[in-house]
Amino acid sequence: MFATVSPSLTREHARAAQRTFDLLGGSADLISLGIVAARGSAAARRALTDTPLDEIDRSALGELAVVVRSTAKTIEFFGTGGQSGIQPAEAFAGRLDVTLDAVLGDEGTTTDPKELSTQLEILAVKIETFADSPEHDTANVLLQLFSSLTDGVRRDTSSVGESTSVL
Amino acid sequence: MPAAGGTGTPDELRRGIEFRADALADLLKRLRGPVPESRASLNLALALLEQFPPALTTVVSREWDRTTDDKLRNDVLGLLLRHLNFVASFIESYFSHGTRPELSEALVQEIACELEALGLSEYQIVASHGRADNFETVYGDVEAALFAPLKALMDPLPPDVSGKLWALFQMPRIEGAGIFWRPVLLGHEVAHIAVTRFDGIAAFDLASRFDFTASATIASPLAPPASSGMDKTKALYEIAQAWTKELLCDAHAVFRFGPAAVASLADYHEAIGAMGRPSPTHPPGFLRIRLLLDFVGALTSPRLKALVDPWASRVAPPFAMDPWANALVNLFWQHRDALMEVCATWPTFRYEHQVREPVVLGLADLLLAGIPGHPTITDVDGSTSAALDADIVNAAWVARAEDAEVPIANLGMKAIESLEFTRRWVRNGGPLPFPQESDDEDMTAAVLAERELSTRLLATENALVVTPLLQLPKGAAIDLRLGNRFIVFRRTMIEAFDPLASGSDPRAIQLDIELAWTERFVLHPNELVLGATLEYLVLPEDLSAQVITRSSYGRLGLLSATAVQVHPHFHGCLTLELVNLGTIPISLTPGERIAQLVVSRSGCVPDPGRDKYYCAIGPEFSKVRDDHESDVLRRLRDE
Repeated sequence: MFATVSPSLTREHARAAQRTFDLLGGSADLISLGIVAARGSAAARRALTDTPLDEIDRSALGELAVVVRSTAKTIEFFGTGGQSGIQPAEAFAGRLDVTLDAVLGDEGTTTDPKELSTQLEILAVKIETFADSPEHDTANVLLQLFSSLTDGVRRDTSSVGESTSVL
Repeated sequence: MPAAGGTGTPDELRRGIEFRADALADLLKRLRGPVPESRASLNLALALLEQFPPALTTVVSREWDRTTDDKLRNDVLGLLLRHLNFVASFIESYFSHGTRPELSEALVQEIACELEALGLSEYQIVASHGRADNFETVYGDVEAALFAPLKALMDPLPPDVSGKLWALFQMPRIEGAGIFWRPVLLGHEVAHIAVTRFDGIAAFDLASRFDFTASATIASPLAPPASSGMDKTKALYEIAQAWTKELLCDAHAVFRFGPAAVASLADYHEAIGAMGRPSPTHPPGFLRIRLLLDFVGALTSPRLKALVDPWASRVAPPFAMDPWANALVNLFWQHRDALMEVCATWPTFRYEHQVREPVVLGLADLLLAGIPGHPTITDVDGSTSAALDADIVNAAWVARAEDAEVPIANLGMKAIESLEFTRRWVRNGGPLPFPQESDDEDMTAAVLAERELSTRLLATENALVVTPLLQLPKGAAIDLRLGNRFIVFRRTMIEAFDPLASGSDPRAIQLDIELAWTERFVLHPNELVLGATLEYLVLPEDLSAQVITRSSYGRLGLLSATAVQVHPHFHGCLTLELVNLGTIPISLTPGERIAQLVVSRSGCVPDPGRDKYYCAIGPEFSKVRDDHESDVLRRLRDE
């Protein structure tokens, strides 16, 4: 029914969109996501050094699992032609883009929307499981995912800092 | 706290935040300092913002102490710096300008009334000037946005400040002040909040109207041609959501203002070049105007048709669009009735322009005659009803379409202001007078007494106009009220002001301000300010008048007029030179009866045409420079 999702094109999509953010236009939400992802990365690094996760680590991982799951629901909305899933809220469009970019990565696993939605659900469960029993393999995967998420937030909330014109 | 002299990137990021947080705190103090208490929402907003810098430094300090992971510190502090920058931009955009004195609290109250009409009175409002090509509205939980990134690190934050919802409006200086655009465009902007609160997109049922299959093949500005099918669908759906919002707000504008909404929005879209330009956030103007024309329906009055006809031809097909825009144009045109059906469920008073047509045309005739119209309308059957702001806006557009030779924009705004004051007057128990004609008055006395004054107020020819009229003439005078516009003197660095100098403008030493009806003006001892009467006056050719201070105010030390003579054919609000001759400050409330108008026969005087203060709706700056002999005097003294 629908064409496939390709990660490189999703990235291109994000760049083409050239979204601009402001405080009440998604920036606070996006930066909050970046901070939680940074904490998720820290949790993964701690797991890789066999340091026990603390309450803050688990809280960050819990929030990230929610983000991934809500992304799955949005993908499901498009995958089912609006029949099920959750309609995307405009204010969270930036969050959706950056999360998809991070999940699909540069190489990515190309899939159709239904399959992607399922993969995201599985990922959400994986994050929740990791919070309770951290393992090195999962830590490596999540470290890459969360770092990519933080980098994506930094990229999308950046600006060039000046605008100069010659008349 | 960090070790002194740390040299890593995290140390530098932390210092960067701390310096900026201090500067932001200082900026907020400077912004809040001059804001009077009467500007409650602005004060509240700035109080909320003032809590951000200390909360930020607290969180940074706490986070620094909590972790030694440099990577985490870099990530978190870098993102907090970004957030601080977004907060600073937000303050510059919406609050630095919002504290400018020329932006009246009356505007805030006007917006509040619009929101209240939609059942959305819980919003705190801040208004400011913005770009010339954009009305911009943001609304929601400012506190949540402000503190969300901090709460991601430290929850709970001290203290929970407001728990309020905010609506912040930025408007162009010209269109944001004009009768032709402000009511309609603000009505449109306010409707954005309604779309969210009443879940307009779900009510429109976009998901069932949108073609998910076809959209997978359509590239758009948010999904270039090489994008995947789902990316294209997702992008087009996002654009469709934004367009739905805008079109629902347009439909609301027609609900509120009828034909004037078409004229107002079309004129503005043309001015900003939006007619043929679709964007991911806004439908092209031609679609919007076509829909508005459809919403407003057929008009029978040629005078009202003149408002919309120029735009019907302007937006006629064809407009060349990209496929993505064409798809959405077709979607919304096909489902246009559903847009109106959604609006019909909102608690909006529907403006029945067919029913109001006689009132609108009557008000337009008054405007064309240089009279801002009366807040109350006497119908053919003798019953009295209140005029509507939409009546006035439509009347102003009719007068504009007929190339009025009087300053319609000013007169229209005065009419809206009088209407608003009268509403508040009645709501608070103020009576509305009904002058009676009398046929036994003495028509020979030099000074007109109350019965003849009443008769002249009701006359159809050579009428004495006083609007709004909130009390009957008493004795041999009509009381006059204080308006809400003032011109005050300010301290300057100029050595002296030369009224004859060609380069001199009184604005170098004076500043005009407008109060809301709920605000007060404090006049200090020996201070001179210019005020104006609330009432707009028109003197016929055979009457002149004098303005005198009401003795009750004179006893308090208030002198209200020094230039007391009003000539036949005068049109406008009288400028009052207010001086406090007492020893303590006097608090003046707009609407107070501070002066009297004593009207006398003068013999018929030919109309001198427009003078330099013609149709003033508030105190006017001195125009000595424009006196016809000014050039002579300048040359004479330069000899």
